[in-house]
Amino acid sequence: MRVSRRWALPVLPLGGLLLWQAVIWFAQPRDWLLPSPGQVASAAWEHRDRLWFHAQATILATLVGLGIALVVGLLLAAGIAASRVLEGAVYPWIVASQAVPILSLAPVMAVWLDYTLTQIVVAALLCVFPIVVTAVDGLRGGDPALARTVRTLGASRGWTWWHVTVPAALPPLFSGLRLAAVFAVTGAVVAEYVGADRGLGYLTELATAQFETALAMAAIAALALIGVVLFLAVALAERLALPHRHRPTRPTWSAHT
Amino acid sequence: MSAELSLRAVTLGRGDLAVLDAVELTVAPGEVVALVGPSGCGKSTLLDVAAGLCEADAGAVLIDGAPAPNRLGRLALMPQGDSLLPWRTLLDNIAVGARLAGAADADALARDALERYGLAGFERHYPHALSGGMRQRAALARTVLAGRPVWLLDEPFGALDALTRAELHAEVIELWARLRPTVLLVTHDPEEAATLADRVLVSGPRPLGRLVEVDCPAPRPRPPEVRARLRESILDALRDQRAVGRTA
Repeated sequence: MRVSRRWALPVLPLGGLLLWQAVIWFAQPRDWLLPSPGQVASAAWEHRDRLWFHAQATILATLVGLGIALVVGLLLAAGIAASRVLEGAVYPWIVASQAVPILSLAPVMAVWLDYTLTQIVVAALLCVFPIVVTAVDGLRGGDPALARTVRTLGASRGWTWWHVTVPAALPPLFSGLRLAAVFAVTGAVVAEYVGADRGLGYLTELATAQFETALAMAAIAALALIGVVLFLAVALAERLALPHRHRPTRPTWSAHT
Repeated sequence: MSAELSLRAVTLGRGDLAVLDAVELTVAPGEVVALVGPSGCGKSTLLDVAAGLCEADAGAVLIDGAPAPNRLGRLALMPQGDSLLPWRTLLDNIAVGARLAGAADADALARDALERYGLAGFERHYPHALSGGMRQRAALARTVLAGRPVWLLDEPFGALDALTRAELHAEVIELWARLRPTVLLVTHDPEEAATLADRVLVSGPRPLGRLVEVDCPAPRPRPPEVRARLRESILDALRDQRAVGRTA
């Protein structure tokens, strides 16, 4: 089973590339309509400096947006999980705010803020929701017997929160973070369409307008790569933070608590 | 490390439902009292009130004869299941007890305890990687290191297989003989009560109110035939109590 799983991973992308190349062979579309995989690859290589220049802007907006969403989201979640009043006053509105298509806010944001800030805010708005929801569920959902037991052994409320409630919240929170990591890239790129002078989304638009479709597709591939790397980074952070979920004993690199 | 625990007319309702109805109960210092009752009779709630995790509507919990309004943290609860923290290694879990007792050398104490409870070699293991018996031993070690004078046990050995449970019973009897904590044990298993307790109280179905004391013939550890007879008396008392509950 192990072998077949490893072999299964590249089947879809390889099949997709093959189909794409087959379309090129049989339909022979013009280059600007549909470039071949090879043309996209050579455009990526040829414009690698330009791609990296624009990627830096998108990566920066993505990471700062994600970081802000993480701080704000965790503070909101801690408050909501701790206080019924705050839950009643704030939580329904956070949920209701998701009815507003956040991407449609981008043009308005661009009126108020500069290009970079718009990207950061849209990215943060997109990923704060999964962080808040999973963190609230996590902070609420731990086994109550654990907290009750350590309280009877003399643990303070603060000790119990930090050493029992918070660790129990981490697994769901990491699921939310994985979603947020991918959403953040989307938010940053869409904001670039509204107005920007730098970024992979901006480059995609520019290249398409100039019929450089191969370059536009190379930029999209770079965006996908950023999303995947972020996703994997969160997955790696999870493995480092929660070694007990993956192994029977504590690894030597893990911090002693 | 002993203290007297008394419950005086402890009464508690949840909505319209009476859960505890004027419960009277005293555990002398160093004594082990088992409270046997059917599932859902309010035993666990009684322990919550005793521990200070929730307050009774009426009545009082006394420690050494004095009201103890801030008793949370003075009576160690061992709930069903081991309640170890899954993200901590066995050593770190046991050290929690020592740390909460204010010990400066919590790790060293935990290491000693690990040896004494037959868990040496497993200090880096997470609870999920160990057997139920080992986890329960670690929970016992944690409770010992916490050093509270009163222990409240809520069917702590219920999830174990028969052999492991018998082994842990023997270990816990030896442990209590050494440390002499005051123990209130709730269980639905007459065999467990007959094995572990100095005195046995039997309750009917909910609400938990009038408790009937079963005459316990010999001090612990009791020979098997005495234990078997005691178990039968407990079962009889449970039957009587259920009948009383039906007619009431």
